[in-house]
Amino acid sequence: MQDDDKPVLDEIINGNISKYEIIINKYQARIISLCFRYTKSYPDAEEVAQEAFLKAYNSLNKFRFESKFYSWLHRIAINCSLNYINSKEKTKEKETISENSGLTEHKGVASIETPYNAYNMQTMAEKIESVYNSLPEDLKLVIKLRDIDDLSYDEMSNIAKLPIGTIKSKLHRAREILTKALEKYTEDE
Amino acid sequence: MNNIKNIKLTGFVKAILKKEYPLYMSKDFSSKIMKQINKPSRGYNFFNYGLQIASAMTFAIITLFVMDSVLTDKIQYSKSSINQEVLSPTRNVANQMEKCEDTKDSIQSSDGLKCK
Repeated sequence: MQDDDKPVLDEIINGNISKYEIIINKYQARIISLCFRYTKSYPDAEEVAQEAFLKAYNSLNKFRFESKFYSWLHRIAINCSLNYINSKEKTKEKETISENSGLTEHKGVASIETPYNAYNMQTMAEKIESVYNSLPEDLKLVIKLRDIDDLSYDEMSNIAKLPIGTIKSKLHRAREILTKALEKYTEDE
Repeated sequence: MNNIKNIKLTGFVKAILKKEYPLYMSKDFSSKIMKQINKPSRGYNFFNYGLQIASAMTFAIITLFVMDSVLTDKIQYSKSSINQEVLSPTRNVANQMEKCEDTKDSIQSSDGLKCK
């Protein structure tokens, strides 16, 4: 199975540790979002996601490229989240016994205010959705096929009836427009 | 725009389009992980290995001494016959059986032994 991450992962396995930052930056939002589904608290979701990235890094030598790296990372993140829930339940049991606090809400759900030193992803999402909807149809199609449906270039070429080179250049253009729209939200870095 | 930042923004775009994004996330999320990865491992260098082996050996030797002093009896066996006379004979080493007195029909003497 073809994996876009393979060249980067090979470099990491061969000792270029700093390249792992590419992997983190690529998947952090999706992994944190996945962990949040289990933890129901953003600070905890980040903690669990961090653990998942570290676990993946530490067992990278065992990854055999039989599946996509993201699928593997996704599985690790789910396991970490389940472990978190188990440990949380144990703590909760103790709390319930001591003060009957079982009905208290999770801390992160109640506060939606963006904390200091954090990206407001909701604002970014509104911007991206409006820019995406204003894209020309051909660019919108390649973005949809590649980034939403996760199709390979061959499959995209068959669907769009365009050569792979043209697909790649359209995709590059579309991504450039979309990422430019986000630049002002990350300017302070 | 540098490469890492571009990858991060592309990741955000993909997460948003797939509707798999958190409402907010720390700006230093990746740097925190990289710091942990780059942390020098308090690991298994030569000195630590040596220290571990030395402490294990010390522990083993002390344990052996303790076991030796507690568990082994102090009898010392000799291959040659012992010629030295026992200076203070005890009751139990006499070859003769001591007489006992049957107290059923007679009055027991003050230092007599009871028949079993």
